[in-house]
Amino acid sequence: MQIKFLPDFQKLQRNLLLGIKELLQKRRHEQLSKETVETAIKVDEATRSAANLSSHINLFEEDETFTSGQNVRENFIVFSKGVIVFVSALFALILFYNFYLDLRLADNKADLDILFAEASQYEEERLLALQIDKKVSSYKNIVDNRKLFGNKTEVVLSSLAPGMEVLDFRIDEAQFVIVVKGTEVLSFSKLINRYLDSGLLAQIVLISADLSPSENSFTVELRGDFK
Amino acid sequence: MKAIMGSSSKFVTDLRRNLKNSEFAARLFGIWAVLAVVLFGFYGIRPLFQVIKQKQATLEKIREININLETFLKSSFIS
Repeated sequence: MQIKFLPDFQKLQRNLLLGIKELLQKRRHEQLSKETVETAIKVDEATRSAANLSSHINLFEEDETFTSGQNVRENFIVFSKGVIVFVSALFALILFYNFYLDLRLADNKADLDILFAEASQYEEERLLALQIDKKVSSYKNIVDNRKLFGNKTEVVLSSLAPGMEVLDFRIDEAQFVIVVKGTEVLSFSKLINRYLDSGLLAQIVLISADLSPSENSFTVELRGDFK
Repeated sequence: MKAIMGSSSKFVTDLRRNLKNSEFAARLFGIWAVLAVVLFGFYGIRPLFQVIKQKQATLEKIREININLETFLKSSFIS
């Protein structure tokens, strides 16, 4: 019985193998997946063993490569996986560093608060020190101005002749005004000469000159502008 | 329940089978890589890097203030 059906069976197997071969070639040209090819190889081997065919019937040519497109895709997959892992790892690393910076910021902020609270205890001393500093600055300013006016005042007053009486005297940085009472007219002329010779004054203005016959005295008001 | 288990098992099997398909896997991982670069890189790493730069500058300032304040408090004027 088996011998009787053997030719038909072999014919059927050969037709089946030819059909599989055509199918594989068609799919190979369409660049289907490796799994399909492996499945086809398994089908081929199973069919070959079921048909008890000799191994000289080869569905695939040995020099045919199915792996050229596969290799490109595999490399691309490996590259994509590398990119995914690298970017994710970098992001995780930076994220952890960000958390680390947050912790350090919180620690430093706590230290700053402690130091600030400690410094706030000396607020009264700070205000006192500020007041003292202000007073010292004012004192220095006054002393400096006094020296400045002292020199000018000394020149103005030391130029007065004996017997002259100062009734009023005002001085600032720019000018001085003096009201002098005397008995001799010549002494006023000498006073003006001495002022001009001192080199401090740019000009002298005679504001007023009064004669008092009852006292036989002169009252002169002068203004001097400093250089 | 069996239907759900069966459908999930079928889904997993289909997924494994599709992942073995190199073309599908290449597309999947390609899109995944682009999404990772865009999301993690552009919207994640870049702003995070800027924030870290600002935090580092702030940290340096706070450290400097702390050192100056501590030195001032330990100075002879206060003590």
